[in-house]
Amino acid sequence: MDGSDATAVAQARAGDHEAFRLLVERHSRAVFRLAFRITGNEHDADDVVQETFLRAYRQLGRFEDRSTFATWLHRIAANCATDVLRERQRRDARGPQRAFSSALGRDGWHDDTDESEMTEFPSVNDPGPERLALGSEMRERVERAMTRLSPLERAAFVLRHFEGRSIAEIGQLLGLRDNAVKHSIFRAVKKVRGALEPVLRPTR
Amino acid sequence: MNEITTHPGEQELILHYYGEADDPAALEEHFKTCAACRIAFESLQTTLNAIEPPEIPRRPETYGSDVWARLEPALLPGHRQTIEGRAHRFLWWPVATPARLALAAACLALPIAGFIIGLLWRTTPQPAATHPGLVADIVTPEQVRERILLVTVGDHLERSQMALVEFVNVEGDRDVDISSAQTWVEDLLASNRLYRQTASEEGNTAVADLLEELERVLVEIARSPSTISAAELARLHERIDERGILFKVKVLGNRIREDAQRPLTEPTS
Ligand SMILES: [Zn+2]
Repeated sequence: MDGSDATAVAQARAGDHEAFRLLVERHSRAVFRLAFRITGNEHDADDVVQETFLRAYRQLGRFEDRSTFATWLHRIAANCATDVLRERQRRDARGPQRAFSSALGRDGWHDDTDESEMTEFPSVNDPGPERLALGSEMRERVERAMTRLSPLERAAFVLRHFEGRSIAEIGQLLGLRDNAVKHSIFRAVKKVRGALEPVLRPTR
Repeated sequence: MNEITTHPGEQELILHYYGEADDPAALEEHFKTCAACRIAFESLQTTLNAIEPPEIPRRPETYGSDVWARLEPALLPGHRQTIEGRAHRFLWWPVATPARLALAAACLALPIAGFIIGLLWRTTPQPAATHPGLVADIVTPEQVRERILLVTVGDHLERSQMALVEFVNVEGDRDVDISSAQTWVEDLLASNRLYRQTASEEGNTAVADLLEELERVLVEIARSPSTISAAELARLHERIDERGILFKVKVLGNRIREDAQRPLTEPTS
């Protein structure tokens, strides 16, 4: 019962629900991962997964075999996820940012800072209130910086920084030219750096 | 490699950090002789290294099938929930119907009229075949069609039930926003009207009556202002309670689900 995606897509196009089910079961987790990365919110990501397959189902006739089903699906998912970000920005226009902070919240963001990485920062070396304060200040600053990113800046940045996707891949996913992806990443890095460096300034 | 004649800018350093610089070797070479650029790059590295990925929340092994279970009802005709429509939240309710037919999409091609027929409400299994030896082989297209429609109505009642349960549980001490509830209620209303008309055309008064009652409740929710006071909400809840509509929907829904799970060809005992 283990056909390729191409076969399942062909069958699903012919109206075979079982074939589409197979595709859903096969790709849901990967789509969730992508959706979570972009939205930074678990529940939004679940919604994106659902919406992605709904859109995929309706657009199945438009799927062209020259890309793989996974690529095509991820493009839809990235689109849905940035839609969610836009929607969230509209909604939270007054007091932004609840979603990302909750995603980074308790277990999302690593609180126990990696010593080897942080040896340059004396205050991080001694555990205790100072370090804790720094950790939470960092987190807050990152969160705040992330809310200032446009949906595309955020999507491009997290895909590059957290997911290690290449600029070319990100361009494919977001429907942007390489240059537009680069500039989204540049702007994102600038904003995040601006927010973090006052906390991270090495004292040498 | 090329000798870098000018100092790399921030953008080039960012690309280098991500392994996407045009000529990484030339940059590394430049860092050896230019302390300013090396320090600039190290500072960038330090900052970016400190931004670690939030952990991806775990999803169960069954995630794919869970997604499918929630998705499938939405693939039936008449649903247009989109992420902008807010109603998509409600696709996430656990949908317990175990015997949903994969063929449900075929409903698109089916005339809705006539589906309720006696079938939904029959209390005894129809004689499946006159020749007992052939029982297992006889499944007429008619039966398949009826079964699909049975599942569709069963789903409708189940979704209505969940929607009402959810609505009845909405609480608030002051003004309550019920706009998202109204979105899905409108969705349910459209199918409800269709099923009710069919039922009354078929002379199925019991079903038609229930759907009519359900419709009144749905209309009442849909027509309320999108923000209502806690007191108004409580009165709305009371009226739903008085009608006992939840219970009735549940009972009928269960009966339909039982019917839908019965094997298509049952040996006559
Ligand atoms: Zn230099």
